[in-house]
Amino acid sequence: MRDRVGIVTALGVLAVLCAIAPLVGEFWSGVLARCVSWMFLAISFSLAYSYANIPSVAQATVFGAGAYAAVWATSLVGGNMILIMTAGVAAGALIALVFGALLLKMSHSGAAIGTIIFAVTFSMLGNAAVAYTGGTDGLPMPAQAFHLLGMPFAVGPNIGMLLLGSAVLAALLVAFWLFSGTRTWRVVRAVQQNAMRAQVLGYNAAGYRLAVFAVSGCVAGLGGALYALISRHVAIEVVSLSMSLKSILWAAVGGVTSIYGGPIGVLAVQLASELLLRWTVRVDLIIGLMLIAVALWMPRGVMGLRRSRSSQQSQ
Amino acid sequence: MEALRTTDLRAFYGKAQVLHGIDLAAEGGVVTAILGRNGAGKTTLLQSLMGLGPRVEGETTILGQSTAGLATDAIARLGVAYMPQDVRVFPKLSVRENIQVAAHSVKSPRPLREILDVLPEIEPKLDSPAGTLSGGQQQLVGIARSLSMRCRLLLMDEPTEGLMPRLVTQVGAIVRRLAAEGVSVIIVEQNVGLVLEIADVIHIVEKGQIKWQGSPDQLVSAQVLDRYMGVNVL
Amino acid sequence: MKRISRRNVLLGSAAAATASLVPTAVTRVLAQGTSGDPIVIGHQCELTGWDSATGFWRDKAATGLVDWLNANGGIAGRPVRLVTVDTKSDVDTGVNQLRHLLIQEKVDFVIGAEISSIALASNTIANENRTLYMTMSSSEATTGKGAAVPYQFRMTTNSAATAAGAAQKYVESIGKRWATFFADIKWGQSERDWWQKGVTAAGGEIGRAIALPVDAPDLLPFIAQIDRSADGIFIPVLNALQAIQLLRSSGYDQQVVLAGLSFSLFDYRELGAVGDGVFGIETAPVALKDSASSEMAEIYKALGIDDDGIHTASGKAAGTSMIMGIAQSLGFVKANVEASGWKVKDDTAALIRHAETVETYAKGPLFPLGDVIVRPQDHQAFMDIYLLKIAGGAVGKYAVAPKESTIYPAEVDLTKG
Repeated sequence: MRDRVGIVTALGVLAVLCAIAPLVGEFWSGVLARCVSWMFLAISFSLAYSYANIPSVAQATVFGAGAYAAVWATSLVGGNMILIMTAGVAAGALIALVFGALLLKMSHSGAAIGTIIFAVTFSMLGNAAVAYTGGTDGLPMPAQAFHLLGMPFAVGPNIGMLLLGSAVLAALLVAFWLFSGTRTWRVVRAVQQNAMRAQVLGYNAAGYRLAVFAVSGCVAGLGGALYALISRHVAIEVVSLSMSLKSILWAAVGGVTSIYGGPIGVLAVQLASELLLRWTVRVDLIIGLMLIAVALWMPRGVMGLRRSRSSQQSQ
Repeated sequence: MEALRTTDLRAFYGKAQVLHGIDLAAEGGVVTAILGRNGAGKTTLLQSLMGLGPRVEGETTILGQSTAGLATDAIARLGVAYMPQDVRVFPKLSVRENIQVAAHSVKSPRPLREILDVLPEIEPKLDSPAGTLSGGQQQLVGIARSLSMRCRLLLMDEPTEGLMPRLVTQVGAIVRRLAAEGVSVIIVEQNVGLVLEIADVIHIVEKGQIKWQGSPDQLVSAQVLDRYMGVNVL
Repeated sequence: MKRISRRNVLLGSAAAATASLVPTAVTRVLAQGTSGDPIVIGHQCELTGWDSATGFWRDKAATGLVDWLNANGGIAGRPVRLVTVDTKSDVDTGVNQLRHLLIQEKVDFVIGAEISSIALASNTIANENRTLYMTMSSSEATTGKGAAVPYQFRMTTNSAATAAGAAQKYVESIGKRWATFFADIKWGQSERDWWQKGVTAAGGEIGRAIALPVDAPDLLPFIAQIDRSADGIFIPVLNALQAIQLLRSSGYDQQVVLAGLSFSLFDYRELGAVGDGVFGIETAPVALKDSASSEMAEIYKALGIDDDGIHTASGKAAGTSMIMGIAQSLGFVKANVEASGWKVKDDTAALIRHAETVETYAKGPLFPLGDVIVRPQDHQAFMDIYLLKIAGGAVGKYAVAPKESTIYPAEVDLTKG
């Protein structure tokens, strides 16, 4: 069943971001642009966790793969942003397919540990493979004349990238919303709720889960490519375990079972961090307290509030 | 047509052997009941047929096709429906969606209207999440799914567990109706009374072996229940 | 004596409450003896996160030395306002904070981050914004090919320079055969490579270099691979404290040389007995007597550090290389603002052109340990390198590698436009 409230909320949030961008100035446009790239990461975790049933603590690894692929692709394809973003998607899909095929052989808790091992391993490999990743120094996005559909486009933390990122994300969310009414998505949900039961109905449950995980990889990879275009620099920290943990936090605050919750979670946490940074160095402490409050009083996140409200009303 | 044949079916959990050479045959249109004490191997037998759980050896043919090496979903696509003992529904999907998921898996599913004619109790709950239904209602949803699939072999593991008597009778009627349509039904049950009413053939399983087989009349006259199930339930 | 009234108490409490909300974009009050619009210097500093140990010293130095500047005529007679932001030792935060400094605080100059990834991501942005970026990164790549930019200068040392200067001395005094135990990250690999060049150039030889994977929970399996026949072991790792303790307990009694600026990463006194005989490479000694510099004494006084190099308020051993980097960066800004006639940010291009003609910064209050050479081609400074040694629980000067010995070839020429 399509979540009308969810899609309207998510699109509304993106529309507001785009509308206020000219008003809030260059700095905040850059902040929001980067937030939009992270929304892809948060959504990818929700997809992996809630629909592929894989508690992936390695989504940042996939996101980072997309970011690095974007940097490498820029050297090969010049400033063609469509091709750069496609490279990010492809990298994310490839990594997710390889991860996923291995993770599906594990139990639920085993898969969580498996993803942690992946994240740590790839972080170590990335640190060591300095020639390809720049290691802790990172890689700058090569200076190019970037263009989108033939039109010159300025990359970086600016309004243009905010609008582009928001447009891509909006298209993704609308596509997902349309797809969520199809029989295939119904089967995906069935597999997520009881894989064995779906299996005995004749569905290749592992195949569906892998497909969803690969889609989550595509989303993360696309977000990584956008991140690289916005930041113009990719450092190995982007594939770190701590980055993956952030994706979980964003998804949890927004509502991990709803795709539309990720964007809200990113904005809530990151904007709060950004504002707090102006006042205190104890940002992480305060954010931590905030997350504890969310866990206690909003365990299903912001998008879960409406379900609580509707169930209270029905009582 | 023969729906199922197993020859020397053996099942193992690790090194522990749980089924010891089961020879079982089921024809289309016949209701085959499996009785036995708890832990006798009844559920393991059904799981083995579906490629779930234990490692199996021996030969199994379903609807003319060997199931050696086939995954569970591939076995299901041969035309087999399986109603396991545990959680039967997709709890967050509505009742309607639960049935639709089963329907999507086959080319020509049974229309929803037909299913609701057989199971009118679930019609008011069509748009409710299946997980909010009572245990008995969830059972009916499971049966509705099997009806939707127009399967040719139906495996049922204790379908009347937790059902009130009226629904037990209804389930029995549905089983007989399916058999009349040519479906081969293999039903594991503890409800001996129901079994005697609906089964054409009865097997008693003990310690992973078929110890007795025959018709309901033969079961009654042979007085075997006391020996294999420990009580005189007649 | 002034009467304490309830009104005063209320006003004071309100002021205290308001002050507690003052942003950590710390501002410093204008001092006497200066006039005109303040020169705003942004400081992109690792106040929290994994590199906060070194950030602590850069923050102390920047804050204390800006106060000292304001008490001593400011820069070109103008007061200096310092705006410090926390990078959280994180690239995304660090870059964003730089953008905050440039766009919202509209700073005139920036003292940059120490973490190389932040520095490398930041210098491009500062360059595009035409704001002078005084990098504090010790990665030689920051002023190398592909990263060096016209609006960046480095007034601290780097891996290449320290290796060039220190390797010669250590090969002469410790021995020819060396083993390297390095953190398998860019910094560790870079230190390994430059140390190898330096040792080889000094006539020594390097055996097998043992890589320590990042976040390895147990160092012992890696330490056990170190060549026991080496004369000395060079250790560019982040967890040097743990590495040295394990080396000694594993029976390695070779001389140990820590990578450059390591004594700013941890307090050497934590090594205890196993620290005796450990060598380090810094841009300044810790004990005042080893610097023999009244200017250094003034800096120590301004920052609340005693003659033994211990910060009185915190009890920590001073991260002198960090302090020197900040002092020399501020000294560079002051000297070039005053000499080039810089008035507003648009004058920075002219300031840079002027700075590229200044070969030497003479010993002075903000260059307390002697003349500093700045190479115009890559805007890299070269200074005497202090080789330190822990003995009897205290770290003292062992030798000095003169700045001329630390010079390595430049990869770029920024003077050619």
